[in-house]
Amino acid sequence: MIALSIFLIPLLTSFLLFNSKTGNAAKTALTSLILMLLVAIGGRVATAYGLTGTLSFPLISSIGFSFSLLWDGPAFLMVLLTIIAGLGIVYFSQDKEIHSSNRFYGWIMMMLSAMIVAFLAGDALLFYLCYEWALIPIFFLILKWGHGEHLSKVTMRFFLYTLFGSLFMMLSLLYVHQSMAAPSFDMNAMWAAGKALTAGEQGWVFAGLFIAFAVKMPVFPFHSWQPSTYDHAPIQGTMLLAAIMLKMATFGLVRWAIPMTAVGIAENGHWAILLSVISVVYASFMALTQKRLKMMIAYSSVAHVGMISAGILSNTDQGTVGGLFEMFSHGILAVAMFVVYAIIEKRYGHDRMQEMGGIRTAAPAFAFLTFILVMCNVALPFTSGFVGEFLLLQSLAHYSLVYTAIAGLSVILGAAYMLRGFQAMFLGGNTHAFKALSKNEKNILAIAVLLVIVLGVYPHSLLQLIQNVY
Amino acid sequence: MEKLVALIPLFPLLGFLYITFFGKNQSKGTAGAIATAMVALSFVLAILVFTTQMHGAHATFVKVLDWIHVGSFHVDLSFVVDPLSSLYILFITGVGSLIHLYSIGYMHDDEGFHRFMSYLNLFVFFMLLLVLGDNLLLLFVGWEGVGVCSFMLIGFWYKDHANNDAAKKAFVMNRVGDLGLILGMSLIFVQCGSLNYNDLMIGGSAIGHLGKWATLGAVLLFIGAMGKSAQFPLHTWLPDAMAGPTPVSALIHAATMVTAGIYLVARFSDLFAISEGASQLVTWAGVITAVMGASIALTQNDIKKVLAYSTVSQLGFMFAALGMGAYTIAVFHVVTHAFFKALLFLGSGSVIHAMGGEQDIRRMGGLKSHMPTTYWTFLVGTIAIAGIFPFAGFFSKDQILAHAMENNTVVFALLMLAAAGTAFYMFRMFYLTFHGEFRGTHEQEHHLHESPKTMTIPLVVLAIASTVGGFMGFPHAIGHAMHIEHALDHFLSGSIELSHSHMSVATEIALALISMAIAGMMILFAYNMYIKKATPVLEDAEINSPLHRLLWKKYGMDELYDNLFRKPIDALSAGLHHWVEQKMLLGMVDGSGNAAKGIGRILQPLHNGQIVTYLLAIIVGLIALIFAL
Repeated sequence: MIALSIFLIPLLTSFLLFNSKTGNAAKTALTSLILMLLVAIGGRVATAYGLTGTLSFPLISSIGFSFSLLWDGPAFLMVLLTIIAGLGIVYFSQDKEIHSSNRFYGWIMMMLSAMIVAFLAGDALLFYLCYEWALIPIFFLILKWGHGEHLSKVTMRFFLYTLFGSLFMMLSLLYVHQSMAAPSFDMNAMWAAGKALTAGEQGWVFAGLFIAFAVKMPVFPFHSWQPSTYDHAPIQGTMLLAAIMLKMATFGLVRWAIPMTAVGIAENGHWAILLSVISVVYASFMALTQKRLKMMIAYSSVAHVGMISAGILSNTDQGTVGGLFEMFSHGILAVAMFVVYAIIEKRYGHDRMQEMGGIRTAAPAFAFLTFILVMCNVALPFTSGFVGEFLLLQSLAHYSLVYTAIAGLSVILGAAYMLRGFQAMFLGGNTHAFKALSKNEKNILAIAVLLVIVLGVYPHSLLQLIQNVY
Repeated sequence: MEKLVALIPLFPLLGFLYITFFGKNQSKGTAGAIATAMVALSFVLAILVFTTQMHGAHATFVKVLDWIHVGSFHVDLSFVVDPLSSLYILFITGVGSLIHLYSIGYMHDDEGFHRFMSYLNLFVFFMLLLVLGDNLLLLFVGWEGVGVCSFMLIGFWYKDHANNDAAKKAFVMNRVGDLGLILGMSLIFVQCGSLNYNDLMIGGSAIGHLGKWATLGAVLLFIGAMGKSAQFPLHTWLPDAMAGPTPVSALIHAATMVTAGIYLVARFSDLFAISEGASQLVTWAGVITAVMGASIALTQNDIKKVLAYSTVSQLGFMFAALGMGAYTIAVFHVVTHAFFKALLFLGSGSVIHAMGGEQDIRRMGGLKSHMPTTYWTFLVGTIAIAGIFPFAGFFSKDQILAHAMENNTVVFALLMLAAAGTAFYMFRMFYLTFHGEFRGTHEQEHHLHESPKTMTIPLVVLAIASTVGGFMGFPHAIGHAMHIEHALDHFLSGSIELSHSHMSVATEIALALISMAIAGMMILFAYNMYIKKATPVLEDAEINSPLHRLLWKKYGMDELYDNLFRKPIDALSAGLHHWVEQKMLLGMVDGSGNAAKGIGRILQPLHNGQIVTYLLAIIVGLIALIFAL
């Protein structure tokens, strides 16, 4: 029931918003999200007292397709991220001028709903359907509320690219599905069937899954849709993509790819780990050469995701848990970093970093908060970024110390581009008037910073929660 | 008693939080007093902890918080109290509180005073974590934390991009070392299954499981140490770090943070002791750094730059000692160096303060009569670093030389050379600053004054420490009769591998006399040159001799790195962006994009609102496909 209400609340809210006037759309969405947060936390507490949160009823029994939702540690973690990031996004947008705001928030809530089901899904087909379904709201968010002269072309490219990538996942899932005596998409059945395949078959199944995930994360060289999409999307859309949507892919690795095809990955999946490692370094180099803040954040995100992928695929406890932790941390960080971008962009009218300067003098508190976020981005200890990244590197070291060293270059490159950007924007003499931050802007950054530090200093509880099933 | 250790880092942290969040309404006096008091409180506790250890050295562990438990990976926020850590916290908080006190006077007119004091507190917090952590990961927390504080304090005057560049350079270059440390940690965990000192070295010996990886592990840790402790070739950030306010240079870039690398190697002495190759590397990196730093210092004219290269050189001495297995002696030199180098930096700060910001010793001279306390304490520091008996530097440096003599003649000769250079460049600076005629402007001369009490008291205390600080490590020759020989060695043997000297008393005394004679000659040489003959120092444009120019330009390392790393990496990024990202990958997508455009044209009627139908059709189609299967 808990799992059910968590995805039904946003879905119903979105229907409500589609059929209402534009008036209080943000307030409605915000209320709904707070309700979801309460239900999620309440539900987690209830689970701790032995109440089961899982749910399953068959939909099409002939193919073994059922509407089945799980409520374990990792699923809860991702739902929590979805809700918190969603809260951040809506909270940040509430005082912004947005046309047809009822539909805007309606699409956001629908997307959250789809992603929540994908995270909770205990059925492979259900996962796949929601993985795809989440594309529709974001497609409209970008197309209708995005900007830039190539908007429709960019949107279409993003849409078809990711849709096309997902087909490989479908093929892989179907292959596992048809290998069973009594075909079922149930998670445990799929896991068992995957494990029963030969290493060679598993390698192919994994390849299909990984390509689908690699497009969405994205991982080099499947990332070329991402920079322009991030650029053209409304800032809320960019946040949704970076903070939550790509996590469906990394989560997919943990939930589906590793349990089904661990042997295949170990024996025939080197290329995927190598690609992930290359992605980390390549994206870091890309970030180094960016002149615009939004693009720098976008590439920095690719680097982080590559690290998550490499760590998870090296398949140790530290990799899985560190990967999940980093997904959570990165989600919060992504929202916060794009808020920083939006704040600056609004005041300067552009985001070319070299043409700014001295923001720190005009807005010391903003500079202070941003600096901590920058430090989280470069994985400084006592920020959440460190816990995840260190565990991932540790996991990768079990696989190959050389790969760890290569991926570890991002430790240096990340510091170089992040500090270069920070210096250009915030330090030096003051060159531009800078309006003080609004209360909302300040609050959201302060909360993000608080979360990032609390999780960095005391990650223990969250780490225990993640390990609840593993 | 040891349980109190958890409070030691807590006080400076509270100081930081208080000043950051509630300090705005406090006067500078109050904020400064709070910051200083917090470190002083930690110092009092550190004394208690230290004396407990003196009465019976044993490692005690104090757990504060569960931290990261994942599978077999198990690391807590937990502290270790043993001779090594208790010695480190003692001088960190001791020298630290003096420098806090000094900063109240030095930074008094700065608009960022509160910010400055809070950063100093935060720095001390992380530095204490670094040495108190009972595992490598917590060390790394402190390690990175002090790095960030260093970044914030080097670039404290952030409106000038020269300072920001120096800060960024320090951070990024340190990160090169940090990557080594991260890889070292990874290797140790993979091979030994733990990052806790207790499992690795103190209570167990899991570090031995490194086996054939021992050398690699030690080298990786040492790469980390090279970054933080500014060893060749990762040393070029430290002289630039002088862009920060002078108390920062004294606390972070001389007395404490830069010695973290020595702490790391000493802490892992069990590992380095079994790895001959890594130890050789440590020795030679140290020797090269010692000679290089000293040679550059001969030609610098910025009072802080001379001291910075001097620090680089002295750190080289410490690593040379570590490499030769003289771990305790390296730590001994860390402590004496903390006294006299903090003294010298604070003294230079007092001079700069009086000179209205001037740092060029060519524009000084004759300051002796204007600022007697600064003069006399600076003299003590200069004698101490030159290695004259019985000042602190003599004892520690002499024992490093003694070890070198026993181990390797070439190392010994090179370190002797560096020591001789040290005596010369220190007295060159000393004479040019305090003796002779004043060479600055009239306005500056009029302004000359002794610094306020908050600044001179720390100078006097540090001068006393620099005078008697060496007695804790009496060499065999002198100490034997008094039953206090190698007191520090014996104390530290609770934590670190000991190395025994087999040198006879006669040789020891002979060595001491020779090295003092050389230092004396160098001082005379400097006296002759800068006092008696009053040779004017060349202006920048007049430096023509190739050797002089090479040293003055710091061997051209900055330019070399720029051409070797920074420019190629930027070019590579730009090239990848242009050719791979734009031309290749986007070209590919554009190809498929054209196909998409074709599809788009076909689907034109479905556009605008009906696309949902279209998508639903895809999904329904897929489900139908499944049915078919």
